[in-house]
Amino acid sequence: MKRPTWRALGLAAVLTASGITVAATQSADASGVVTTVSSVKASNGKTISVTNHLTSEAQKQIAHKARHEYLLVWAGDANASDTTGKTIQETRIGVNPVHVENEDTDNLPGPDFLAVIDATKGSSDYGKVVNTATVGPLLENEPHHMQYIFHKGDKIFAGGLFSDTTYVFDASKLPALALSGTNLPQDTPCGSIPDAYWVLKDHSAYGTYMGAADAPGPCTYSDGSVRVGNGFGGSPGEIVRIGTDGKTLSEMPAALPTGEDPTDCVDYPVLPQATCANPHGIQVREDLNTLVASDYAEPRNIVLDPVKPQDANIFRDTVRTYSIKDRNRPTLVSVSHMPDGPRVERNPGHEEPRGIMETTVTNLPGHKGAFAESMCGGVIYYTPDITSKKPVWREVFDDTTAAKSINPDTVEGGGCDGGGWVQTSLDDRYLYHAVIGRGPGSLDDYDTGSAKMVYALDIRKLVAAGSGTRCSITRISEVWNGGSQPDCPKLVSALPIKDLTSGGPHWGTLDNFRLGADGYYHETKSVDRLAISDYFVARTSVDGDHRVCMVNVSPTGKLTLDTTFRDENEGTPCVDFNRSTWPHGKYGNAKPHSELFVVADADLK
Amino acid sequence: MVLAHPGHVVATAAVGTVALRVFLLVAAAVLAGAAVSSRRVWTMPLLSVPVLLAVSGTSGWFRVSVAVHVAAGAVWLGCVLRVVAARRSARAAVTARVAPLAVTSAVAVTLSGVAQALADRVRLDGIAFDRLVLVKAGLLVLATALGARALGRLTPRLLELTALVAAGVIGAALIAVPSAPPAGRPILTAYGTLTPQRPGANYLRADGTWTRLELPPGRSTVTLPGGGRMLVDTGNRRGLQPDGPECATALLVQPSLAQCPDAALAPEDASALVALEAWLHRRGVRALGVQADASLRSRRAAGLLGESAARPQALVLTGTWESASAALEELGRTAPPAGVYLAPWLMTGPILSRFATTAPLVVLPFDPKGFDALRYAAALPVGEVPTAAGYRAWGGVESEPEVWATTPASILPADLGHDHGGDSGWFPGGAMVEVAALHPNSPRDRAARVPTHWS
Repeated sequence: MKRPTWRALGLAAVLTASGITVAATQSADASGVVTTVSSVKASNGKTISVTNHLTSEAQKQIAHKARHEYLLVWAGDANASDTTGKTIQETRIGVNPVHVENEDTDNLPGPDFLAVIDATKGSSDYGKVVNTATVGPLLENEPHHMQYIFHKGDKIFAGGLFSDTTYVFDASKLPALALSGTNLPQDTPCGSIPDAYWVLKDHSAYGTYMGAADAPGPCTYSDGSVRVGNGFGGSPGEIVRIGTDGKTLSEMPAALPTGEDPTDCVDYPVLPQATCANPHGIQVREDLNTLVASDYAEPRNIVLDPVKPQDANIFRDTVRTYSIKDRNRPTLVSVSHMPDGPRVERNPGHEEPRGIMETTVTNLPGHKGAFAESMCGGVIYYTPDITSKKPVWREVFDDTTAAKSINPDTVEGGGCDGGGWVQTSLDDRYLYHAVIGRGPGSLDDYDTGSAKMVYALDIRKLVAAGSGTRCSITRISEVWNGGSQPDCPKLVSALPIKDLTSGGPHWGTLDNFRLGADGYYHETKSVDRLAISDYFVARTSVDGDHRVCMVNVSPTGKLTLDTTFRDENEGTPCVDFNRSTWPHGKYGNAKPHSELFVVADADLK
Repeated sequence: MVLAHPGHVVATAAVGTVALRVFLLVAAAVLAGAAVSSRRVWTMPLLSVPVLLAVSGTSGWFRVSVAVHVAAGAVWLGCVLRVVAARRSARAAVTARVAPLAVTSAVAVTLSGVAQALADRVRLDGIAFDRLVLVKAGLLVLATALGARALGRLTPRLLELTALVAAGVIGAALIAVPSAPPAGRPILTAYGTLTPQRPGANYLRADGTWTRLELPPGRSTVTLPGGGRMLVDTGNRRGLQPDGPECATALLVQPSLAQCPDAALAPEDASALVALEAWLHRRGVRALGVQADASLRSRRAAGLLGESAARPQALVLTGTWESASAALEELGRTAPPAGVYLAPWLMTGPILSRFATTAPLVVLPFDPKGFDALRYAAALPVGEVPTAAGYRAWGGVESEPEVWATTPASILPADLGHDHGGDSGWFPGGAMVEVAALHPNSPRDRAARVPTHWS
């Protein structure tokens, strides 16, 4: 070959090698993610860690010491385990190569994580995921709930449904997170299936553990009492107090020392002393030394038959109050069965009192009431006094009233509408409620479905009435029109959440922070926005609505979607957790289950 | 193909993939054959393209037979096309020039086809595939006769053209008809799994259930529960006969397995059961019930655990999947106060979820959440559920025995689209947590340290 040709080839080779090198360098710079790791040694001797993946935006915020407010979202990796083997056969073959690439990433089991989303109003990073803090080495925790609200100095308690593990995060250095401790299954031998948390003023937390001791049989609690359980995911559950380092401070029984009515309280396997004690929602009034927890269902048996439960009473109808005079000894004071309402359902599992999932307390001194809501029954209950040894609970609102404001053709509104998060405003004026709803045809061919929504009720008159409250839904007309008594809650606003899947909004949280004129954040009782997570587990194809949305709340309680809270990749409202790439890598879709507004301690006064 | 440790997923055969493969095969054969029929030596290697496409997934003499059949068919087809493409005035000369090659390749196609048919025991009253083979053979005879007639004298144009076109079609068909999957290896498709694909006992897993099938030697068709059909070829060698779905899951990953898992009690499983009994004893359990059956493994396990108590505080199941399932079915919604414990080989998600009302725990000499176990689960075809037997056959890493509590896990009814469970993984739709390591002084043995008061 002629020399000039060799020369040309050699030059080409050098240029090519240089180009590849430059491209690789640029690629590394383009990602710009910096990782930091925080670890703790768990009680089993293993190291548990959280790894921050801080984006360039997060690094700038840290470098500039900017004061930001964040929305933390506890999310699980979605992978092939979330699609049934059967439905994969029906999966549409993706023609778009990007679609195929996304499927491939979803087949990898990835870590679960806390997403840190910038929620600072007016920030150029508003809606951006600035950090994903992945936990390890436990995979497939099935992230569930955290506490309902955050205060200065608090840790963040986040539970894993499948791993039976509670992670305790330190958020004082946001947008980065550290791990303060973990609580493993072995640390709560008398309970399983952690659900929700309430953080006390001393920053320790109560957690509801819905299920029984991991090993069937008698279990001895911290006070020396003994209850017999039927195993992991069974009954009875318990109340656990967890320290800021993740250590168990106490385990206390949710079940009565004597049995409950075995017809009302169905347990599988059968227990020698029946119980309905499966605490799910939890809220506390420390000033009243009272803890309220709602019993939802025996977790193991929820899926026996998803549409027609073998026994409707697997979904509990009880709410329990506990005295917390001794913070380490929450002691059962009352067990109340929620009353049945005027609806007569074809499916007994849809009757009003079935599946009391969540509860919320009033907040102001002088108010002693609390609310509870039924997931399967689709109604709201209220008691004016949680300190009573026999609190009186009445049905005060049926979700049907809110559903019909969105769709007047609703056939079955409240029943099995998937009501979840319920929360009083911090000034006790409003009650917010997230309802998953049902797509048309969910129950049968004639089912028009039920609205997927977040709604707000005006509860001022109800709460102000105190023990003199008269509101009670007892007539069928009140299911549709709302309660007829003057103090009944009034629907202020119902915000439909458009979701073409069979999922919908399940969880939410209030923004209790306001940026002050001094440039610092302050806690406020005037809530002007809340966040909700629209959660769906993909069962067909790869589409699923894993969105976290911001909702503005007007002074009159009107709810509107904040369309400026946009996904940084799609540009559409709400942050979409269906994406190929995260700061921690190409792990594909994730399932956002719960969220919390948080401000770093140094930025909070 | 088999799932070999570290394991890679076997490709499944979707309809679109087969059609594409056939198209590529025919196209390659057409081009290669046309080139070779020019009788230039350097074109011979082009035959490797359709041959390699056709022999993919085959082995042994079957591979040789397919290679000869496809190569010869491609050459024969190429000759036909060369004649068809020639000008009418030159067609006779072209026919004469390619005739020796065409006749030779036709004979090779015939011989290799006959050999395959004999080996596969193709019968006149056989399956559709068999009948198609016979039709092929008949058409080949006809085409050969027509070709010979064309060589002998010039025929009227219409007859000549018809014969040439028919020959072309037959040639393509010779190459394009798909063959049955290789015998003796599990068939993995999106519609079902058949293990081990040998004469005799086989297990079909489709729609989440296992069905036992008795298959004849050679080719046959299996009707799937969903109404589809699967062409199978069990070959002639019987090999190990699975005695249940548990054995089938082991054969799935290791077709050369020498014996079914229930034929012996593995030392790791024996140690796990002994450790379990000691752990239960430390928890205050004095009356242990033991479920067993006639299988050798179960008899040995029951022997280790001692006589079954008449009124047990805890029950340990050591039988096969079938007998253990029957025992769990009988328990229904009850369980002894200290619980129901499954021997390691009963670890499979469907048993755990189907009998969830008995709240079964399972003792395992490996970590189902460990990296190796997750790799095995990920290596399985979609829809297949991991099993302890499969994991061991795959060569999975064992560890200290632990007791695992299990529960189906969800929070909301599935129709609300908020289900937390999935239908694959070690426990479809469920959760498992380690309750205790089974060594007396293990710091994780907290459950045993909790004082117990058995009534």
